[in-house]
Amino acid sequence: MNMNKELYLKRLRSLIRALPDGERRTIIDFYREIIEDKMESGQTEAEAVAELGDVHVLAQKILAENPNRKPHDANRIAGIVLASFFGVMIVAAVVVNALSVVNFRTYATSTQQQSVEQEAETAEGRKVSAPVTKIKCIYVDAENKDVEVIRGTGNDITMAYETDADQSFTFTTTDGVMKLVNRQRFKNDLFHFLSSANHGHIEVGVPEGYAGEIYLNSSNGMILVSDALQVNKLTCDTSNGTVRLNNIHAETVIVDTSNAQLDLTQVTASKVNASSSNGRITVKDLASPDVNLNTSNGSIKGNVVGAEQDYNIHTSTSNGNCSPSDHSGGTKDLTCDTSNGDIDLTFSE
Amino acid sequence: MDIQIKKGLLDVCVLTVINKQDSYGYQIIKDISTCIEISESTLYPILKRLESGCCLTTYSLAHNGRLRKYYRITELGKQRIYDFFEEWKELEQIHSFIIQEGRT
Repeated sequence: MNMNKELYLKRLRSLIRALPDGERRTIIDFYREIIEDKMESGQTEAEAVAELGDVHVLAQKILAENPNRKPHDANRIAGIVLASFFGVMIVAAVVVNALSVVNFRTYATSTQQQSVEQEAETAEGRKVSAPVTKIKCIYVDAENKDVEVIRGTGNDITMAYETDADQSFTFTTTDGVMKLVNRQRFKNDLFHFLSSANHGHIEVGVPEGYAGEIYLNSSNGMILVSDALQVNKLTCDTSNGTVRLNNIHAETVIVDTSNAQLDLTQVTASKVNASSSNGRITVKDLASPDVNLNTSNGSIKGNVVGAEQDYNIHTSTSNGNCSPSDHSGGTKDLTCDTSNGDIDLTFSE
Repeated sequence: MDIQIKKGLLDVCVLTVINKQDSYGYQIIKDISTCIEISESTLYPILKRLESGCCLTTYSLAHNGRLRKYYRITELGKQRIYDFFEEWKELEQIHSFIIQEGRT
């Protein structure tokens, strides 16, 4: 049967609806891009779509690979809320409850498979740890929690967090990657804003000598990192939370936020890339031969360690004042871009 | 080929391709297909696994009025390629052992 792109993707989207919305969107985007690239390289729409095979077979394959079905508890809690709201829907809640037990079984098996290679001892819920010598990458996806990385003691990297009925934490260490992922269980909650008001935080303790990578991710939480001294790569990504770095020595520092401010104090790195869409960027004693600061609707302020003439400077702002002015012939690079803010950077030895 | 062996090899193939330069889904498939068969539905979970294992990062660029997702290797990803070479040496030893012992 000939099916066009949109119809194929629509069917696929509906067939994989058991997956979380974000995952589903990523998958659809992936296949859409493949189809469009194939068409661009000369195939017809029908050929490009036909090459993906029967949409039911593809959907089955995607579902089989994906243990991240929608969180079972959300169904159950949603059921309970509905029941208390409408009183008469107890029967429905029982049905949903029964379903969630089935879901839970499949979910539990898949998680166990994932954690087979786990090397670290996991304490119940609150604090997990792994020996610093075994870890090459620390990865925290905090969702709505704040993340704070501090200098730890001893020989273990630790992650401490408050457990909470509506959060689900998954901790794994596989192939040198120490990973903590938090998921809000109750996403479509009407009282979401109330519950996230008290959102708690995840504290990561990194002992001296850790030279691997650190990836921190939060949607609505702040990211604070202090005294990370020999890190290879530090990446911080948040949508609505502030990122604050203090006393960092790293090979590469990448910070990214959509709607909040970035504060970089005493950051030393071979490469620094900081970008924000709607927040200001403040640097203090920033030392790096390759600096890129980028924001759309905020200012860029602070001081850079070094002499102004050593830098190739490129600054641009559409609606603000700009200092320093552009300059070339240096050995280091400094690029600052903003659309609606001032750029005010000074140099200090 | 044994499915587990193929799976492990494909991970390294994908990393090798993006180690040369950042690349996107369709191009990765084209590059790898010259040596080993790979479908879109095989590639997706590999990319996802490599991303969650911090072996690659992603970013999107505008291309012909749409967004195309690019994959970039991380230091950890490069390390994985290196590890593969090390493992391969061990495999070669096993291989020559099997050949030799098999002859007698």
